[in-house]
Amino acid sequence: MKFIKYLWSPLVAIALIYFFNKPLGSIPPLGKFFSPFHGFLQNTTQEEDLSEEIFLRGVSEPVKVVYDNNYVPHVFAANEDDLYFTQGYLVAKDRLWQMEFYTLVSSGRLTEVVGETAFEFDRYNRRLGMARAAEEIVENQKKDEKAWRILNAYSEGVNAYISQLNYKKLPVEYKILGYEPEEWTPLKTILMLMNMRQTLNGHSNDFRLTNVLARYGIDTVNDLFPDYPSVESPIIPSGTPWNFKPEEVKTPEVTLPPFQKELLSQYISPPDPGIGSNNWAISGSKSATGLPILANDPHLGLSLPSIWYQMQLSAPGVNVYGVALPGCPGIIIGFNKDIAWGVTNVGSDVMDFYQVKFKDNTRKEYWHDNQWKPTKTYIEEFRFKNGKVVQDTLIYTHHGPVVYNESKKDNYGKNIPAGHAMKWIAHYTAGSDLTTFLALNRARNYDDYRKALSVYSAPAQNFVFASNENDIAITVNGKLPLKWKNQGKFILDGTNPEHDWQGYIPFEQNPTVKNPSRGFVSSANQFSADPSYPYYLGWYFAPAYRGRRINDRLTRLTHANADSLRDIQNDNYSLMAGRLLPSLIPVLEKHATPDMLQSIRLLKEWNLENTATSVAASIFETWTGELHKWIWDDEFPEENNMMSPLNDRTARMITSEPDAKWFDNALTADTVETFDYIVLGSFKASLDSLTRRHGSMSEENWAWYKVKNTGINHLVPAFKSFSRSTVKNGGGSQIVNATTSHTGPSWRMVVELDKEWPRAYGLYPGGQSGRPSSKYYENMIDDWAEGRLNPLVFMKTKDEKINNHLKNVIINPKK
Amino acid sequence: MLYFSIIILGAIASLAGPWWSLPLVACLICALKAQTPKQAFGVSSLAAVTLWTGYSLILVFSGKENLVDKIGTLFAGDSAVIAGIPSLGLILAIVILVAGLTTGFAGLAGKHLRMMFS
Repeated sequence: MKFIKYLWSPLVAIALIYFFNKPLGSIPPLGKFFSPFHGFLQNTTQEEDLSEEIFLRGVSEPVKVVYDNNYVPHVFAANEDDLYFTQGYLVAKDRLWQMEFYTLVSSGRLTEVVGETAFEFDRYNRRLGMARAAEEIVENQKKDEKAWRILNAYSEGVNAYISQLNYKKLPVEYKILGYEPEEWTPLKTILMLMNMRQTLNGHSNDFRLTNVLARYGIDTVNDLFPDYPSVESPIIPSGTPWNFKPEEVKTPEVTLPPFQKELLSQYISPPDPGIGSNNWAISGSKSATGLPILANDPHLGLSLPSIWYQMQLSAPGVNVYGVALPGCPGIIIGFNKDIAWGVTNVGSDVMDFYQVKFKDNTRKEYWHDNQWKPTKTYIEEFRFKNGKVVQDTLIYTHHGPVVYNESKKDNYGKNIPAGHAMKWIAHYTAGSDLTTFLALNRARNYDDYRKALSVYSAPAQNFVFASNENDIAITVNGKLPLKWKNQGKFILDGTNPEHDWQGYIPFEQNPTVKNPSRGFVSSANQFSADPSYPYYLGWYFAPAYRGRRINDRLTRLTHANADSLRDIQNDNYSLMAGRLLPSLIPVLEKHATPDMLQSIRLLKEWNLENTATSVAASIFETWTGELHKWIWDDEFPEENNMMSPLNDRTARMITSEPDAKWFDNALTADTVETFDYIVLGSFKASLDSLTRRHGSMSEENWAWYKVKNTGINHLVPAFKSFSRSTVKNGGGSQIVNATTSHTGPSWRMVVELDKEWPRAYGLYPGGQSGRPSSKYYENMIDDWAEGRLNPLVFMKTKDEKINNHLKNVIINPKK
Repeated sequence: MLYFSIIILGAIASLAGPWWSLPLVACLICALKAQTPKQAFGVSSLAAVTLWTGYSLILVFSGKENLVDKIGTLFAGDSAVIAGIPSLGLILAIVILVAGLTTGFAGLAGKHLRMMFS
């Protein structure tokens, strides 16, 4: 009796402790999380709080770290091992949660930390085979002694930080999601780089275009999906001689895919029009100083914490400033005393699909080169947060992985055809991308630049270069597959060996130009070269508007300084509006109803600048999206996995083919819709949609920044309070200032080369710290939105006095 | 006296141990010192609430950084009702609930265990 009387309370106490010690669904353990001694409130006490002297096992000599007042570390080490160790340690201190998160994404392990909701996304990423390719790259890196040492030094630095953590000190995201960091390894660094391959090279239109081919035939495809746009300003200027003898590429007799009777029913996402970049360099002939100036702004998905981390890395043999990717040693985009470099993405076609003929449902053998060949099978194991384990079987042919065996609604990659094997450059495991960046960090001249580029594979990038020897250059670089014309424009025949990739364009023959007569080099993801280039690279590149606008402005430029280039980075002029409106406005005027008059007037008076407050830009941008749908949705419906014609072809039809049959709505059998009807209808629909979403037309309601609604979201979208929304800036997807709702210039940099010491400016939309409560979490966003740049502090020596000094930290070896 | 010993020893234990060090300390002290079960529960609960809200408020107001609003908004999720509560209020409510309940019952458990064995 006594027993029952007194034992209930200990049981209740234990039950309560147990209950508050474990997560409740997506809610973190309340006890731990709200304890002021352990939980999130402890994260506010950490204030970038390195003391002035710390001791770490892992450095061999004292390392001096100078922080400037933008919280950028300038690291001065006595040797390279210490340098990259310290880089790993410092980046982890500010960005550990983020860097690990990226590796969980590319290795398809998010289910372990967020649970079953991530399963289809994980399954997709596993099936792309990125983790497997990353493991092979690590094996190859082991043979490269220098790169391997650096990778390991970096990992040890990250681990030195991880080993100092306990629950109290964990980044708050770990506390909310309820897990702990794992040991860092070189594999994780490569997985981080895999993410970039996926973001920049992991998209395809092959499947959707094959559906168009099946439905309309090759003539229509040739007409509506041409291999080169009607208006273009290619990266390598037309007329640049190709001083090499091209490799022979054999075209097979049958190049079109073997059709299935029915349209392929299931279909990797098409390229995101917001993902791209700008870079350029002007030669001394155009600058005030007589030496080159280089600019770069890579457009990526905007996120918090930011994708970039600014650093200066200095040791004997290297002194470089720029941005690093959290998780990856070295500087990816930056400059040193003598040179500067930057990158933009190359849109070449490096992901193809092969229709595979399996012998039977076991998929153990497939037909290729007139014989049955064995497939390879891998079992993927997924561990969910709740402990559940799920297995998935993945089949490889010699091409690559069969991403989906069956067409299912919940397949994550909607543009990937089931039963097709994927050939993808991201699976290329020779070469060393890391070595390229590490060599650029140390490069002193043009020859060093070329040598650094020669070992790079993917994602292919337009590497822009400038040196204080007055050289400028740009190289379309990476492993570019040798292809016959239009190889991989459609699905390929997996049984025919002639449809296999035939090798790669030799590095020396990748499109490149040095010191062109026009006095500048530039790229904005447009076509790498005009059709005179002897190799086929692909038919789909970013629309030419950004590239043309940049080239127009650079052509006119004289006596330029860094600010002139900063101004071009922020150019909001819409060439697209300039191209289309003269054909569209007369139609509106002819048929206008009274409620449209004010909008039409705004468009007519518009200076074609997509500024933050422009109402005309809101109308035009909404309208062109709507107009595209009105023209194409009937014949090329997205829901049937069809691709619609590109921006340039559509513009050509609007401006010079008003009688094209495509303007007629194919879904209305008894009426014939005209160009005028489509223009007017889509315009009215756009005004209606703007009114519905933003209220009645006013400067306030319809301001472009509100309609565009650029958001910089935390990597976990549900963490809305760690995100920024509706940033007040201008721009647009076809605008040099390329900001969309979720993408934009993720780093802006301008470097004035100099014989003595370069002057550089830059910033990114975020901040150095990954801690949401830090004052350095998002401190650069407002300046970024306004188009300003910060002067970058590039120190000559570790003892140099700098104006924007925050503090010094000495890292001593721990005995 | 009971009240202050729970706060002081609880704080020391919490600095070194896990979050449930506080209820554990309350349990032990109440086993030794509490007069009645009612007192064990009430004083433990009050001491825990004092300690956790006190230290929370010190961190909130002395810290240079504000995470309370962000976490409050996160916990409110899409619920308009909860979003209406000031973040600090919401967070203190959870702190009081967790600390008060667990430590209160742990204190009571201490007294009860003592009574069971005596």
